[in-house]
Amino acid sequence: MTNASVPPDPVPSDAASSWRLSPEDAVAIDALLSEGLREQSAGVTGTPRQTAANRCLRLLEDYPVTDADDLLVHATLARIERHDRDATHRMKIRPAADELVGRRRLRLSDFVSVAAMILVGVGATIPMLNYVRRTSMETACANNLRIAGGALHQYATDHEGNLPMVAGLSDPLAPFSWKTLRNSENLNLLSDLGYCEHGHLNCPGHAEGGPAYSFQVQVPGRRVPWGVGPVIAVIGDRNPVLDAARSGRTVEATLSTANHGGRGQNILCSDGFVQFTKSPMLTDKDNVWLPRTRNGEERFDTNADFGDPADSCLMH
Amino acid sequence: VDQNSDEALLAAHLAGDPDAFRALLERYRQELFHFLVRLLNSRSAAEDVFQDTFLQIHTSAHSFDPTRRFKPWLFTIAVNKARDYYRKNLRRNPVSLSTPVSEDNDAAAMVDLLEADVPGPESPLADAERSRLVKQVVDAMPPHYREILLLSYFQRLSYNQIAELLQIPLGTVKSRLHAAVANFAGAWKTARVHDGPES
Repeated sequence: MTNASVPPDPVPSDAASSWRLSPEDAVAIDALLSEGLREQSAGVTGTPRQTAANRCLRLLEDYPVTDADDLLVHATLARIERHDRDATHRMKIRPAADELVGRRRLRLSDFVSVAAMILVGVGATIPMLNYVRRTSMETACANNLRIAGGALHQYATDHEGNLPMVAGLSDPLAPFSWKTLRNSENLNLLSDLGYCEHGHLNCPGHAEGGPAYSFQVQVPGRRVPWGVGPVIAVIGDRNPVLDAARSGRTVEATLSTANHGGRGQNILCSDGFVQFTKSPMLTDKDNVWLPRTRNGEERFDTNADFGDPADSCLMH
Repeated sequence: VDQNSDEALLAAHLAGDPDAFRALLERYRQELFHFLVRLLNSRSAAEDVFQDTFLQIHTSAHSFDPTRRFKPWLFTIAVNKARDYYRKNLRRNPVSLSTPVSEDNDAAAMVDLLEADVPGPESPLADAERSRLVKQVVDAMPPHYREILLLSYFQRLSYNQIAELLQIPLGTVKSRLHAAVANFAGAWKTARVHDGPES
């Protein structure tokens, strides 16, 4: 039958019976069923065995049964109506559920909110990362200068207490020129002679080309001694005032180096200490970027007293 | 509407006729209810299963094959709903300890219907007493025997129809009906002996 799905017969085996029909009775029952049990049992026809079977089965008519009342039909119809109403209600709920699911989807406002939160987070994180990056570069730079200080000390020990100077690099009789000055080559002697690594003479914050560090101006015949006399700057971050002069620009003499974003510079002094200063003024009267003139002024002057062992003048 | 066939009534119900389904209900109210009362031995259970059956008819009406007859489909659903009722109430209605049980059919007692001591119409056995004994015997029968006996006797279904309705092989239908008749006759004879033929 295709009109109803019938589950597998759950009843137990037919062997669970205390009585067994005789073969003759089984034949009689089969014969009766072929004509319809109830019709046959209503009459007294057939063989005596069929008659006996008829009489036996007709006992089923005596099972006491009262009729169903009218309320059964009403109750059934009411139950069906209730079922249909519930089904309709469920159908109405379903779109609401879909709408609820829709609400869970990201709307533009949600997306903007999330994007704003991300931007705020990134905005708060980037300065912190930049600060860490700057600090680490300043520290690496200071470490370079400490190593360079050790190299200078070793060099001075090997060279009668003097700082490195390339022989014949500049003509003492020629007029001083900012553009022809190659003071950084004096400093490079340290790495060239193996007193330190070349990388130790390169500030990690220096992004431009050329020397990363400026060195105390070395003038033939006026060599600056190491570790004795007044404390002056010996090596420092690249001199921004000299770069401005070479490019024809005018800048404040208190400008800090570009190596560290103008925030300050690391300076190695002749006593071997390294310090990060926000101003190039080592003392009230000593700007590490400027030479000192013979009348004691600190300014860019090609006639200044270069090589003064008491004046810091870092150039490259 | 009542003049229509069952199948036409169901089709009318599907087409939206509000009276068609009520007509079907009225048409099978007594027949299905009586079948269920005999099957379930409970008027309230029969009412519940009756409602379950017609609710299923209502919800599955669209799947009915109009080329087939409605009545076997109705009784197939009714039997299935009754079986659901058995399962739900199995623990509350355990098999009576007095019910004779034998697992071995070979050991079962042979019943001869000629000797089943069935009272004839001229029997002095009072109608009420006979009804009581019949009810006692039928109610004590295993549900699957009751099921097949009622379908074959009251619903006048043939072996093939019963096989199709219960989804069991034809041979199983025959052997089960034979066993059911034997069970009924044997239990009747036993009940008569215990109750006293004079009662």
